[in-house]
Formats: sequence, structure tokens, C-alpha cells
Amino acid sequence: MGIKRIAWAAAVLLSLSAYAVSHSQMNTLRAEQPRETKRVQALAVDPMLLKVVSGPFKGVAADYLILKASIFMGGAREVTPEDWDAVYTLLKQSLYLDPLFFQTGYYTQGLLSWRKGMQAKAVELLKVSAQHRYWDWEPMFYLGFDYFYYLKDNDHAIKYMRLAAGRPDAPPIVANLAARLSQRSGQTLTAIGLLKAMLEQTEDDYTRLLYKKRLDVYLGIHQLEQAIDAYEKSQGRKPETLEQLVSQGLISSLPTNPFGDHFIYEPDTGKVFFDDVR
Amino acid sequence: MNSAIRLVAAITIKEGLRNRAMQGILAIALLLCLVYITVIPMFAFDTGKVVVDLGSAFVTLAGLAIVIFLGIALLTKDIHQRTVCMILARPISRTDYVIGKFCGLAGTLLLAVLMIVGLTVFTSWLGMQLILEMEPPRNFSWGVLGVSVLFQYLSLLLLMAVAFFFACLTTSEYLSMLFTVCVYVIGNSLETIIEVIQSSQMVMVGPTYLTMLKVLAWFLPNLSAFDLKIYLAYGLPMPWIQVLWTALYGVFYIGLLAMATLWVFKRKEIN
Repeated sequence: MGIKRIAWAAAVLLSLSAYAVSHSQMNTLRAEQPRETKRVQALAVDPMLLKVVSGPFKGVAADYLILKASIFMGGAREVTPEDWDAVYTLLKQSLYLDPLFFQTGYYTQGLLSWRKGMQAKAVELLKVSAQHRYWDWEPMFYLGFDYFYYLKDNDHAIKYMRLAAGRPDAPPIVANLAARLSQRSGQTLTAIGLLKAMLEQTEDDYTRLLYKKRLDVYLGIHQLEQAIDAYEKSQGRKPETLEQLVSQGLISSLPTNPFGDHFIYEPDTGKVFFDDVR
Repeated sequence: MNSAIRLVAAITIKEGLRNRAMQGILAIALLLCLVYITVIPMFAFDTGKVVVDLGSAFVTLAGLAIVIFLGIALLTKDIHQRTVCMILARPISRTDYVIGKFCGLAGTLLLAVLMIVGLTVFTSWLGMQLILEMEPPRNFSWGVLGVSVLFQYLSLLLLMAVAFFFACLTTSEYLSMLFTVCVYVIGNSLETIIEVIQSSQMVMVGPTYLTMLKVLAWFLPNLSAFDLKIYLAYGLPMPWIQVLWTALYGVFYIGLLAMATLWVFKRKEIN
């Protein structure tokens, strides 16, 4: 074997060893980097500009941005407020490039909605998703939920729950939730109207049965509410029990509650419920 | 189609398929098709849409590479190496040559697009057998897939007509490539730019600038109109009337550009 060959072999071996050492060193040092430098990075680029630049690759660009934001799914790493701003930017950019992509809406709900101070931003993004995915009930449902649970805005919550219930393939529970929310907010007639509309639209026998049962409950509650109002007008106070409505002749008998033995009545507020869930 | 055009077209297809650039492009497309299966499990929803996005991106990238590196190179090589003189010395007119060359490259491009689409469909099917999360796009239809691919091909054909025009006009490979890439970028973004200027309150430009852009939009091809993948990816109803007008727009644009190319080529001095 000539010296030239040995020199070559030595050079290759040396280079391979140097590569292996540098590679492992680089990875070790990168793993030890301070948290600040490992934050999720979002380019502060206007989504409009991204749309112009990505041309026919808008879909792929949206997929990439979602993957970048998905690092935060699962809570495996500590997150700073700056990270949440970056996640919001990534989701917004992705949504602008492809407003129909469900994963963006899902991540918005999963990542942003429950963060204090981010709910309004989440709602802003979910509105885009709900508007574009006109066949999908889920983004609309998320909006209703966020307004109800996080933003304590019942009027908007009812509006979006009702819209979600009207979307094709929305499970009956959405309409039931919308109706329940309406009734709890003192809009029993809205709940009745919604359930009647759903009953008319639905062909499936089992789902119709579910709606019918729920409708009967709200019709019973509405009857009781009207009688309570009449009692208050004539007596100047609310009745102490529902039985007083019968004894006063305002209703012939108490309506039956398909979900329990009887309706639950709060004398202080005059509200009627069909179950004990407040 | 006369025999001279057929002859030039057939030779061009053979030349195109034998070209190393073409083989390289197809090899990369094959590799990418295999790689993308690994990306799909990273998405929890709308995986069909991600498949459409990636598959369409492969077709666009490969088609673009064929138009830029093969289409322009074959034509300018003929002119620079004087091969064209040998062809034109035979009973083949300049019109036959240009049309034949264009048809040949269109055939090569069609074969390449069909191969990539076939590969993508096959790997998607394979992926669905192997990966649980992978699902076809919502309301998937082979018809919509066919129309979507056809329009992607039409947009590449349009770009090739542009490339041909610049190759005949400048006879410089690099200048033609540069101009074609510019037309491709502008053709894909001009509509969005005009839309943004008209609808956004953030972007303030003078009315003259907007008018200038609108005039430009009449001359440069609107390539974004041929992007129908959204209907395939989300199973949305296809706006057939709009699709038909877009097809007519594409065909007439190619026709007009071919006429301009012929006019330029016929007056060109080839020594």
C-alpha cells in the first residue's frame, strides 16, 4: 500500500471523526441553550405579504406554519407570554394563507382559548375559520363555547351555538346546549324556537326523539314561567312553590318533566330548571 | 397537424425524455413522494388536504423545472448550436418548427405531470393502507382531481408559451429563464396584490398605480386562476362556469402568445 493511499485513508478517518465530534458537540450545546433562545419563532410578516409571496404554495406554507405552532401541543415544554404571541402570529398567518384548514381552528381552540388574555385573539381567529368552513359546525361551536365560558358573553354564546346547531351534521347535543344556554339566560322562547327548527330539519327518528323530549321540557318551563309572571302580577311577589300556581288556578296541573320527577324552582329568582345543573 | 409538425414534436418528446434534466426531475419527484408519507402523521386533521397541498406542490415544482430547464434549454440550444439551420434546410417551415417544438414539449410535460400525479396517487393510496391517520380529502372525486390536474397542466403550458416567446425573442438561455421566472412570480401574485390594495385600508397607494397594475394584469397571465386545488382539498362545489371561462382564457392566451412567438421567430436572422 502506497504512502499516498495511507494518507488518504488517514485523512478520511480524521474527517469522519472530526465530523462525529462536531455533530455531537453541536447537538449537546444546542440542547443546553437558554430557554429564551428556543422560543417559538414567528416572522413578524404581514399575512397579506405571505399570501403574495407564497403564490401557488400557499397550502404548503400554511401546513408548515401549523407544524411550527404545534410544538406547543401537549405541554411538554415551558411556555413564556412571548411564545403565546408567536403562536398567535403563526396561527393567524396560517389562517390567512388557508382559511379552510381545520387544524388551525382546532389549534386556536386548543392552544389560545384557555390562555388568559388570549381569548379575544382566539375568537378573532375562530371567526375566520367558522366563516370559511361553512359546512362545519365545530369552529362555530368553539366560538359559542369561548363566548360562554371564557368571555362570559351569553348573547354571543347563544348566537354562535345556534349557528353551530344549524350547520349540517351538527350532533343533537349542540342544539340542546344552545337551547339550554338560551333558557338559562332567560330566553326560553328562543330555546323553543331553536328546537322546533331543528325538529323540522331532522329526519333521523332517534334524533327527532331527542329534540322532541327537550322541546317538551322547554314548553313545560315556558308554561310555568308564564304562570309565575301572572302570579307575580296579581300577588305582587313570586310564588314560594310551583304548587301555588295550581292552587291559584293559573295552571290546571304541573307539567311533567321528561328528565326527572318534577321541575326545580328557585323562589328567589323565579327561575325554573329541569335538572339540578346550574 | 401536418407531418412536419408531427415529426418535430416526436423528436422533441424523445429528446426531452432522454434529457438528464428530465430524469433528474422525475427522480426527485419520486423521492419527494416517498418522503411526504412521513410528513402526514404530523397532522391530526384534514390529512387529505395536506396530501393535495404536497402533491400539487410536487407537480408545480417539477413542471416549473421542466419548463425552465428543459423547454428553454432545448430551444435555445437549437438556435445557438445551429441545429435549427439543419432542420429548417429540410422541407420544414419556421412555423412547423416552432409549433412542432411546442407540441413536443407539451407532450413531454404532459407525460411528466401524469407520471408525478400517478406517483402521488399511488403513494397516497399506499399511505392510507399503512397510516391510520391518513384519509382522502372531503367529498373526494376523481373527476375533480382530473380537472384540477388538467388546470395545473394548462398553467404550466401557458408558462411554457411564455418561455418560448422569450427564448425566441432574446435567444439567450439565461435571459429567457429570468423573464419566465419573473412572469411566473408576477402571474401568481398580481391578482392578490390588486385584491389587497383594493380591499385593505392598511395599504395606501395612488389610483394611478392601481390602474397601472390593472393594465399589467391584462398583459401578464393570471396563473393563480388555474389553481383549483382548494376544490379538491376541501370537496367544495366546483364553479363550472368560472372553470370553463378560465380554460378558454388559458387556451386563447397560449394561442395569442404562440402567434407572437411565430411572428418574432419568422423575422429572426439565424445564421
